[in-house]
Amino acid sequence: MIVDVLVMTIFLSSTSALMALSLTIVYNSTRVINFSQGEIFILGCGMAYQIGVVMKLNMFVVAAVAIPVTALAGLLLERLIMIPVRRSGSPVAWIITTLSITLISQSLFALAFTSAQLRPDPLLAGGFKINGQELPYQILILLAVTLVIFFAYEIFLNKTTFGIGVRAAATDPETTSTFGVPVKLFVAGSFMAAGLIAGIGGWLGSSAAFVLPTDGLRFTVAGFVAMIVGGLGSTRGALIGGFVVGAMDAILRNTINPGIGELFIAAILVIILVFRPQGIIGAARTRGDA
Amino acid sequence: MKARRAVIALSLLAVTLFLLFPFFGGGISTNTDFNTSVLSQAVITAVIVISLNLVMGVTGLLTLVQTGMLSVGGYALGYVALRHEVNPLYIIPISMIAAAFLSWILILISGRAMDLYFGLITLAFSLALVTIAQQWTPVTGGFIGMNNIPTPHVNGERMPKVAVYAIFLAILIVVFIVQRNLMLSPRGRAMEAVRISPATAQSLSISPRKIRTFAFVFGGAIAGLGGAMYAINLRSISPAAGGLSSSLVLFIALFLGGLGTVIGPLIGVMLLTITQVAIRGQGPYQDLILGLLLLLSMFTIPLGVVGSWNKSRFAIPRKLPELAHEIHADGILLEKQKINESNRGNVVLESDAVSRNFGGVNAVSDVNFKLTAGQVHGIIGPNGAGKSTLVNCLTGFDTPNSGNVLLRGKKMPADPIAFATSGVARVFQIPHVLDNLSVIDNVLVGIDSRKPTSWLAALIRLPKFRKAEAKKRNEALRLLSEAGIADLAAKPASICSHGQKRLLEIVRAVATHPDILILDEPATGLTGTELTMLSTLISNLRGTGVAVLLIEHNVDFVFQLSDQITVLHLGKVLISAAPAEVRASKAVQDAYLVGGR
Amino acid sequence: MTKEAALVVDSVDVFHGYAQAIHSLSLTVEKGVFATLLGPNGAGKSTLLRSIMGILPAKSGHISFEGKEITKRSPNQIAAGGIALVPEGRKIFQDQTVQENLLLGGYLIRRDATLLAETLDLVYTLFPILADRRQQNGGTLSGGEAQMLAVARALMVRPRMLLLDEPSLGLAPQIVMEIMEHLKRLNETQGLSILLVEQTAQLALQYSSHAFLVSNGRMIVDGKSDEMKTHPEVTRVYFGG
Repeated sequence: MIVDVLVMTIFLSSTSALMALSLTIVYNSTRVINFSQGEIFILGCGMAYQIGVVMKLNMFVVAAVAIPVTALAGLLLERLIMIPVRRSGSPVAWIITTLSITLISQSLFALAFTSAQLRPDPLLAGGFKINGQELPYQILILLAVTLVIFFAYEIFLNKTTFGIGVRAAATDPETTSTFGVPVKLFVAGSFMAAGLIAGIGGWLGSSAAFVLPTDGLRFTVAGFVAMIVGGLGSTRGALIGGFVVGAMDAILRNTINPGIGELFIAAILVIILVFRPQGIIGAARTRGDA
Repeated sequence: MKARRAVIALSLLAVTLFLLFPFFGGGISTNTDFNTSVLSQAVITAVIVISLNLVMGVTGLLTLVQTGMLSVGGYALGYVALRHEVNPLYIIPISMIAAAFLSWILILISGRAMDLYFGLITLAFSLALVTIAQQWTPVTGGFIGMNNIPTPHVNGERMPKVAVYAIFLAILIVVFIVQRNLMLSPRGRAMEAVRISPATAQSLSISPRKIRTFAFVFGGAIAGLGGAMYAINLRSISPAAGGLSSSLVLFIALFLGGLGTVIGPLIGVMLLTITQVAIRGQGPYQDLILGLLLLLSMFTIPLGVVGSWNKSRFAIPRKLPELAHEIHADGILLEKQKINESNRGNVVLESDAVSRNFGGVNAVSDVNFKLTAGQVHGIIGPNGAGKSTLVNCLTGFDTPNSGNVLLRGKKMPADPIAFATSGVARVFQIPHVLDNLSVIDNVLVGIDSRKPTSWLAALIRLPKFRKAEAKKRNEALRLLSEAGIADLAAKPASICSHGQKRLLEIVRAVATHPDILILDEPATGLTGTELTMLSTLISNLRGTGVAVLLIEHNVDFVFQLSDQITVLHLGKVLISAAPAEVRASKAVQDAYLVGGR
Repeated sequence: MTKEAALVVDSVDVFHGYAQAIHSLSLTVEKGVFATLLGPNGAGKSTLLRSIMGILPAKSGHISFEGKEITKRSPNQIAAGGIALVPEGRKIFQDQTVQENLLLGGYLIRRDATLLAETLDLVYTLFPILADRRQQNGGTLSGGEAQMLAVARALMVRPRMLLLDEPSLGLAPQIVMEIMEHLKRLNETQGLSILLVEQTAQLALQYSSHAFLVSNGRMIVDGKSDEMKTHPEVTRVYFGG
């Protein structure tokens, strides 16, 4: 029982945190919440499944294909989402572009991945035995990779000149560009990084649980909740939000009943947005901003 | 002009023919029942898309909870219908009230959250509603939802599908007319104003909070209505109805047709339905084709069929009524003169030791300033002298840290609407015209602010209401011709040149019949003739006893027009005197040329 | 001194939406010259700087720097070409430290660690107060310190030409004078070309060697700063008549 809860907690926390991070990266450079971000999660997991399980190739091939393809998918999303947004001048056009990409991806995945459940092979099979129950190595790998990605991104943002440019471009793109920073390239780059992170989440996360080809939006929403709870626009908020929400969900659904977790999270989300819109971390500026 | 009518008539005819298929048989399919159920669904979608259009397209509130409101309406109907022996059609009002009530709660607790944050709150709400529907099994039926909702019946006999469809169609026609009448009414213009610029709305006595609440609750009621129809049509309702993915259809239809247009929702739903029927049976490719078409249309017609048409060269402007009688020069202004004559020479607006600082920097410190009726008072000063801050304090847009603002001797709260309703009109530094509205509608918003009409009267368009509207249009046209831009009246304000926008904004301010007119850099970007027009307009206003406050960089313009000039420097009044004296002042020369204190 | 042109602006038109802000304006700043652009509020001075920097591209006409056309270039390319801007209102990044603000200025030389360190040293020597505030957030600086940071940040680009947009705005005359002294020194010792936009004519004329007077988006007079001090057009443009 405890091991089950632990596995569930790590799975929900890590995937939500990674999705929240990739949503945050895109949001910071464009003020767009990309509803189709979860589709890259599915892309990562579907490719790993197709190459590793169906075609029976080893995980290095998986990595060699999945990593560049998810990054490129991010770049493609940037084009598909941002061109209509810039052209229409409508502040709500992103909703329709991101949702339509979700629709397209869902049907493409349904066609491409004929298996109802995508479950790539774990990087490392087996696990620790605790009280006769197994704690898979894979879930620990997922946790470790999540933490490494967050720390790497934090270091990148705060310790490198490049990162300083990224942060500056998010607050004042015009002034930032006058110091030689190619702001438009940064937007494309942020979509790529976001795609990569979501893709890795899909690949490593879904070996620990069953994922359906049409589950993309579910993961987007999970990441979205974590992002809001942690604080819109904050990297650290994405991590903390992911873990707080993931842990609560896992514990409530295992102790009381499966539905209560979701209900509780929906309630938390409304309460945070209404009473503390800056989230737990409070990095986002004021309400009404953006 | 006939061409515009023809286009509208043709579009309406197309929609009508499309919607009448079930009564003829044949058509899309030889199966009449199939036609009926596809079109019932289309009619219901159209009702909800209209509600989304009012909330998001017209009022500019980003909402992702419209399908949630649909669910609330549907569940309310199902709950009552399954427990009481009532004709489901009679329960529809309960659905509407339930959804409207929930919308009211939502907008109440979301407080001042705007734009994206409001959208996020609605998204959170919508997720919560779906979860509640799934979990509150005793009431909602859990994941399965409610089934076997009774069919509407007459004298104990179940109504045939076509009859139910006819009722739905009638509802859609009513909802469409309501939407159209609302959008063409003062309330509709106020909703547009709130979307385009809340600050402009406030300066025209419109309360953005009230208008948003109205639009959201009204839209909620219509979505609830759509939800009730949905439940009757399918005889069931389940949590999936409220999900984000079912919002997609609404957004597709609205964007495809044209966000914020009158007929866009109908066109959008029609195109969507035709596409869905055409690609029916394509299995998994169905959603793919739909998604690709949508994305393609976002690239080619980003404003939707109607929106992009209106922006294109095929656009045909709305016909305007002829002027009822001859234009007399200064016609409106002369009427105004009688009212203001007694006031002339009195101080109408003053600041008493007003200070305002931002993060320790004194933008305005200890400023005493008096504005007199029947005079033009210029304010000049180098960049950063505190002119804008002072004006913001004088119009309620900013709160002084100390000191008072007095309007006709009465202390005023920092509320722009309070100033606007007391006869203070403000023209902003950057033209704040309402781009999507026609030029004449822009002026009408100004006139509306002093001639309120009930929105219920507007919905029915009673003869009295039509008469009042016609009178307003007439007045607006006369004002526009005084400013020399009457020929633009029917054009959308967005196509006006910068100078024309300026003049339009001033005309709109004049239309509110202000006692005090505040002009923030009105001459910027005007051509020679436009400048002359503007200066005549200001002189005429002064002639009628209006107090004009003129902030301006064009010194020739200020010195020539003003009766008195106040020079601000580093947040303080350097001098306040007649133009000649100001020009000769050594202190003023130093402020501009040397930068000293 | 060689009289080679650094910046050439040739009959440029610039629009704000529909409103034309600059009408067929031309000017030339020679290499190593401290020039100033004068004019009342709304004359189009800031607009011209933004146009040179590529933020608000000119609708017609040509702008070139050191013989290379930069009219249609983006701001980041123009910065890489050797022009830096001290923007109106300073635009300091409030949530980043003084050091981070400076490192942002050094974005283009980030790969050359020695050059970066050298340049940082240089600006900290020029503005010792910034060295004391190194780890403070930009938002905590006073107006004068923030203005110095804005100048220092622009110098981190290692520009050959510096554009300044009303650095005196909202500052006490004494601090303005101090900043002007710094600019003068940079101009004399490093050969940095400067185009300074100012509203307060007297001060700018005291430090610059060449001056342009603009009004309503048009060039009025172009001449030596000394001659401009007594030019009748200056008072006319500011006070009408």
